Amino acid sequence: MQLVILGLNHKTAPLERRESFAVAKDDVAPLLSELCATQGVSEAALLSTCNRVELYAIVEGNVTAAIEQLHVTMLDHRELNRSDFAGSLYALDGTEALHHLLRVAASLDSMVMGEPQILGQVKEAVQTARDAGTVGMRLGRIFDAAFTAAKSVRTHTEIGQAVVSIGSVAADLAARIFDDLTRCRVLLVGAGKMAEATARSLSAAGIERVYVANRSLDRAVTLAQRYGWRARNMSELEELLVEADVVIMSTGARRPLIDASLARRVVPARKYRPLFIVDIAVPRNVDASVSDIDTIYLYNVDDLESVSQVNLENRKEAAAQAEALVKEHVVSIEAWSEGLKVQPTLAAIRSRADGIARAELDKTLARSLPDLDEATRTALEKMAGSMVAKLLHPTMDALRNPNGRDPETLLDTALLLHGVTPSDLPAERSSDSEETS
Amino acid sequence: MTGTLLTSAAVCLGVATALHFSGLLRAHARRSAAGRVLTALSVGLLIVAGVFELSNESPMLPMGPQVLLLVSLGVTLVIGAVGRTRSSAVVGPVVSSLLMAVAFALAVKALRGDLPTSESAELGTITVVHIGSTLLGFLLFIPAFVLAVLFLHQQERIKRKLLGGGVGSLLGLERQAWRLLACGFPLYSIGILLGFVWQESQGSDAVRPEHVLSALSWCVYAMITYRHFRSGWRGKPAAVANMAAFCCTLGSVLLYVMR
Repeated sequence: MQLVILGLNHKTAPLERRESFAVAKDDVAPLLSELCATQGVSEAALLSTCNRVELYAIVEGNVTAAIEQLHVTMLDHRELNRSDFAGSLYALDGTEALHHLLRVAASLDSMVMGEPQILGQVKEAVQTARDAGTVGMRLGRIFDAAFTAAKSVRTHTEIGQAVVSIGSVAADLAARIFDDLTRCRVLLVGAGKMAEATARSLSAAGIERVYVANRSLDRAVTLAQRYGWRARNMSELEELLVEADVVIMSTGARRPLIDASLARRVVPARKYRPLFIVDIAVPRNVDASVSDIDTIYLYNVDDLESVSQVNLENRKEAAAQAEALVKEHVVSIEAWSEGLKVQPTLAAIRSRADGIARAELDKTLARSLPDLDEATRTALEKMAGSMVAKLLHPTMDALRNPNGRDPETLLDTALLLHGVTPSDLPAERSSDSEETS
Repeated sequence: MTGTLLTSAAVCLGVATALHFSGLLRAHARRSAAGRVLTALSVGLLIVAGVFELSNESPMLPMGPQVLLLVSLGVTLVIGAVGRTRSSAVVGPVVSSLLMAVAFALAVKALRGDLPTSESAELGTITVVHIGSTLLGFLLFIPAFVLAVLFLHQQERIKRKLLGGGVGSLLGLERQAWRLLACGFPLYSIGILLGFVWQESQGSDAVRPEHVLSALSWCVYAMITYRHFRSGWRGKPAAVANMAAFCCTLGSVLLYVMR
């Protein structure tokens, strides 16, 4: 039983491929249920952001077969062509998968390293999976550990400091087109988490003339009021494009909101003033052909990668510290995971020893001390339990922490010495459910 | 021989410039490549013409135009070498268009020789104002041309998502270029008008290449200035039109100077 990750990200797949592999918010829960119904997959969670789509699953038995099953569900069932994703999809398992998950949560694998949004996105993905009932004890515990590691990295390193945010990148790039960005009119389309993060950095950059447009006007009003900006209805998009100088798109729309024909209509109405569009949505909100129009400058999430490379160079030391912390956390999760493997054996040994102690105590009490009062009887029972626990402690400890010894040999030896046969071992599933309870 | 070589080079450069401008406007790589080949061929023709002139005992070009040819070739080779390492789409159009103006002026000079000086021609007020305002307009067009080139360079970098090495904001470059054109165009117009008046006063109705180039450049400048100040027209087409108009002006000024 181990963690498996199947997915693609900004390093392995271009934006077009990530777009087609992305899973819409409403489709996540049904897909997770379908995944957990496949053979060998017991738990699953799905993370779908603009830079990555990753499936985290706990698989039992044959890992290769389980990964193949995940491929079938993620590609074939969604009518995606396997050959299109041949070089883009990666499948990780075991320690590699664990290490990857922790790096993702700690924002070490992000395009803009150290950006804070990814942790929230992972938490949201886990919550969605919990709501769908596809996260159990194991995956839940692994994610908890990932969140702890992410928090530790953020607290103990400077990875999160001076991060290049989308808003600041947009501001830097816009300065190459416009003289004074504070005099520019900015249109923020969308009012989700990315839009909120962008709004924060726009506000920090001192940009005051901002319109917020969203499909739900209420959310746009809420976001706009927080910064003293104006909310506008999405139906006014064309007029807003005429007015704005910088447009930041971050909606969850499945189809482009701005296509070439709309953009061409807008250009003369703008008197050919330059229009800078930053499309941080996946799937993209702006058709790629808009970039061919002379006075429109379109940047998408992949185009921001070069900026993040500069950012990476500046914080190499913090990244090295963060990587070391992540490795420590991986070791501790693995130790816990190993402990889970020996749990059935520990339970069987303990159960057998408790059974012997109880039988011997009952026999002695019945034969030699039948008139003992209840308080003394309880005290003797406690003493017997305590003796069993203390006698078994070295064995239990050695099994939990093999310290370089072969765990399989240790298990076999312990079973032999304590007279436990394989038939005494509880089934793995039942041990899991015991722990969960 | 020199006249033929220079004319061939000027024609090749004209086609190369058209291909370069078209490639620049439509982001057509094959047209730009064809433009580069033709420019290289033209440079070859100009080098042969230069060698022929220098080795000829009775050259067709006087010293001044010869120096102009050699300097132009030297600058072209340096820009070409720098352009290869920078791989900028702006280098080709700049080199071919400027070289075209020079080659055209030299070809005309080589073919027609020295013009007879009109006996009645005197340096009156009209002539002084004509020459002064035309040159002043031309001097303002030079930085406008440089700004147009910088605009195209910066725009290319932004479109290609290249960071760093910027030359200022696009809007700033454009604004400065339009200001210069707004000042230079009226002066240039006055210069051309007075030139026409002066020629009428001389009773000459001859249409010379410099007249055609001046009229052509005035039309292009008039068109871009009108479109910009009427409808806000700007961007890459406006910058390319600015470059084209400047090359015509340069050709005509060189012809006047070499007269």
